[in-house]
Amino acid sequence: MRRRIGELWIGLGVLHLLLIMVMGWSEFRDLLGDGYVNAGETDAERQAFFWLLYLGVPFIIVGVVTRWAQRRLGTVPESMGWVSLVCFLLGALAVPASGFWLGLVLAGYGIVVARTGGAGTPESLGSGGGIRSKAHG
Amino acid sequence: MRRRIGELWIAFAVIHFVGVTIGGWSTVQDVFADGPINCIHGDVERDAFFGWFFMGVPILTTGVVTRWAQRRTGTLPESMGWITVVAFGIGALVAPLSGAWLGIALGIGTIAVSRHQGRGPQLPGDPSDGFVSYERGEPRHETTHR
Repeated sequence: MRRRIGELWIGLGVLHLLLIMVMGWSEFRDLLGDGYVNAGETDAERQAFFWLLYLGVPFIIVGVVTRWAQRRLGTVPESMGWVSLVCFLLGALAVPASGFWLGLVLAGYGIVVARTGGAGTPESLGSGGGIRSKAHG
Repeated sequence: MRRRIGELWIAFAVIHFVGVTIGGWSTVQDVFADGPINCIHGDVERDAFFGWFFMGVPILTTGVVTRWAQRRTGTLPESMGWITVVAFGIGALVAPLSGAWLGIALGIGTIAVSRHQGRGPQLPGDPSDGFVSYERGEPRHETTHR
């Protein structure tokens, strides 16, 4: 089975959006209730909520491009894993009680996938060696 | 010339980091004065700054993957462009005085690249037709005849 880094990034983004929305439900309702145009630039509390919520969006974009690249090329760049590992580590230090640890795991997993060429573990390898390339359609 | 969407995403992240650091300089000073470990807890202003600042990380990661993928395949997924335009469009509505407009421009650039298979406008005397493939390690100029 192909290791699904892109899908995991998308999952992380969706999970982040849902959790922040649930945890800050009253803030979210206020934001929609007051009209969302220019709503992120009012008070500090709303700004904090909005930027924290919005953080999930680029995670999904990372997932989309990673999924596409892995399906075409069978692997992901190792540099991606290292960049996100360092950044998530800094994030986890600044906010220990957060989902940054999940991001750290994902970054580490990305490095493993890059080093093994995107293939799964030997037990899980099918005839495609764990890679299903869609490079040629 | 190859359209460098990955590099533009990385530049967007760098501009974001620099802009947010300058914009929230007093918060940065406070954070470093108190020590960066567990520095956000309970402070709304720091929370806002940190969420805003950390937005640059997935943008940077997107740039790294996009650059890598575009060098190997010569193109990018159109879906990525549309998702970027919609997502940053929402961001621009909620926070008009932000860099979300740059994100919209990047999304449009991604759509353009995916529709033209990564080729930029052909420059006079450029035999590569704007496309350089790195798929097999070494840069390989590809020429198409129009």
